[in-house]
Amino acid sequence: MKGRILLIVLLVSIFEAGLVGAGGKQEKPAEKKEPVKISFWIPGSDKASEDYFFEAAKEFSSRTPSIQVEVTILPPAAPDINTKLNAAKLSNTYPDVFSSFIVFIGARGIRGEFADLSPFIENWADKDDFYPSSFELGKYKGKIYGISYFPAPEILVYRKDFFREAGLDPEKPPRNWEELEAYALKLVKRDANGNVIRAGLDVPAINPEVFIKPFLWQNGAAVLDEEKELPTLDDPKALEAFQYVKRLIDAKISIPYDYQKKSDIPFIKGNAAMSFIMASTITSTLKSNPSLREIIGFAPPIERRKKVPFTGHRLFTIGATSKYKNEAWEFIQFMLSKEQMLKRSRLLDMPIVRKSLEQEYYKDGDAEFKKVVVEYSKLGKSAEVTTVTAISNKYLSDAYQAVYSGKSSPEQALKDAQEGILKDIKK
Amino acid sequence: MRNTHPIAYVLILPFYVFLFFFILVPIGMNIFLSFTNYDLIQWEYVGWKNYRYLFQDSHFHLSLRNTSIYAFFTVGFSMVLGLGAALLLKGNPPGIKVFRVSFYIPYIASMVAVSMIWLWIYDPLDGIANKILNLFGVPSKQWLYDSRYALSCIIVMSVWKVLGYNMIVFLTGLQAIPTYLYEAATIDGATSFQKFLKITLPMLQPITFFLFVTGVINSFKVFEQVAILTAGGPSNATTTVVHQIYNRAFNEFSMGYAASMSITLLLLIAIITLVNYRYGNQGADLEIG
Repeated sequence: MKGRILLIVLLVSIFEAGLVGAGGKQEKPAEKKEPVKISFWIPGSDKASEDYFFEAAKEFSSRTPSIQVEVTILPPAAPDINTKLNAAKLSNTYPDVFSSFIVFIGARGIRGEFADLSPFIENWADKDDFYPSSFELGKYKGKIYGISYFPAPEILVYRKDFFREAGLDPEKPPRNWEELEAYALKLVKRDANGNVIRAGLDVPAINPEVFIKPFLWQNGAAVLDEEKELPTLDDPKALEAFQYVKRLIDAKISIPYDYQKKSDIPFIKGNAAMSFIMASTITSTLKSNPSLREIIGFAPPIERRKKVPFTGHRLFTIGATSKYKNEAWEFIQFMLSKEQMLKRSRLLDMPIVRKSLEQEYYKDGDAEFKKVVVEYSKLGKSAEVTTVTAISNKYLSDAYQAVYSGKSSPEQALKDAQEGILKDIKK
Repeated sequence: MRNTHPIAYVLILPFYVFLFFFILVPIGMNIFLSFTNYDLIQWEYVGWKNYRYLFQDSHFHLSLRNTSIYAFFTVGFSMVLGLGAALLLKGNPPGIKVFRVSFYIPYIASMVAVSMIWLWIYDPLDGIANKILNLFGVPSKQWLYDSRYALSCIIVMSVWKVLGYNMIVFLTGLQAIPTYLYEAATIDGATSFQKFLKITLPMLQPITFFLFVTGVINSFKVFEQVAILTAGGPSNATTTVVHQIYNRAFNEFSMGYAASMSITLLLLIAIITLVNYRYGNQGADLEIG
């Protein structure tokens, strides 16, 4: 009997131990949390840049195994990105982290597509190390919708060999409107029929907003009153800027091109002596053809009443509908870390936006180019962060193209644009 | 009264389900949106406001004008040239298939790829179009960057692309015409031109009607080549109705207003098609004995 009782006790104990053991085993997977997967969308540019972002995401995921980052490279042009974002919005697949152009902050961010980052930034120890503009650019009515990590200025570049050929000093690039016009006239090259075979200055025919805006700003004018979200193209200073650009057009110093199609820019093809080109396009051009570095010069920002070049920006944003905002913020912090910023500056010549990195930034690489990029970035102005920027850009482009094709005088073109924007806003 | 077997309804059900969910429902939603100011975030009922603004919108008026010009010339040229090519390639001499395939290839090529090729052809500096002009001493043109030529450039490209399709359809029609009609006409002493006018053209009426209607509908929907070649410029010389719908909807987020443009376009195409059906001769009364 005793033996039987002992056997039963033993069996029960073994059974219980088994249960406990099995219970323990069952709890283990519950402890091991599945990693959170966040999506990161970035507009495409060159291969080196795309490779870097894939590598950075991989590095972040290996350091933070609880967060996996899935990188998607978008088309490079804004209209195509808009299409992707619209589809994502309507299908509820908006990215957790999106590297936004500044124009999207006004067009999409402030319309509720991007999350307000202010609560994250407030508690961020590193925030004081950033240039104030990094936060100001993505700000609208007190909320911060994006943090700039990549200023992308449009730099006036010129060909030193063509300068020599035209009898100009290659170390003295144009500094103001008068010099820009005079140099362009000297540098233009035509064939026997009068066709321009080498532009003195690249003047676009289509998609000209980024080209024309700096001339308005340099003359103290603006397209929009950003506070009131109303057009200001009836300003005489805007007319003066348009009249100047019309002089450049009428002088027939350029080969027509579409400003948005970076590969078609005559300067990139070796068919222009001067051009306003985005810093990253210059970098990729020089990387693919290093011998050009000796003959390409960088002019300082052009001055009229003010020195105001166009400086685009890329900003890190978080999708308003993201379920993983904390994880997204963790990834953004990693991408904005000193280590990653320096890596980008070394690998991709991206300018830095942290004060503490200034010394390090100039240590490697092309110091002359870097100094120019920083100067342009500091003085530069970006697309207006308003809800009516897309509409005003359309009418500004119409006005420019009407002047370009000779259909309207600058006065009439600006009058039509001013009225058109007002009418369209009230629609 | 005819008895229809219930299985027939089951067999056509998938089509009607597709039609309902993917065509009728979106059209219904579009009609609804056209009376709102929907901007992808919120909407409010605005009555006929969007439709009233269509009468004041100079971009829309320009786009209607450009689209009509585009449709008129693209459909006209592609049909005339398609018929010409079909007549030239209707025989069966050796190697004829190579020519037929060559004409047809542009039609099956992607519009994006084709547009990129034509961008190069029209390049003001290095493009082959200017090189040919220069050979004859004609100065270079700015093609896509000149508002006088830009729309014509797009029409030329579109005609080139669709020509092969029209040619193949006409060729099928030509091959279906009974040869005894031509033999009888020959015996009666008809000239080639008379045979073409009195036999070929009337016998091709159903095909001509089909190509005309589908051509007009496709032309009114033109978008890709405009977006790639000119972005609607220069000076809106090439903007079309669908290009305007795209800009309003996806760049300015005026979804409600874009919906009103879409409905207007739908009505326009429907009216043109109905008028064609009502007054166009489809050749249904042709008897070939």
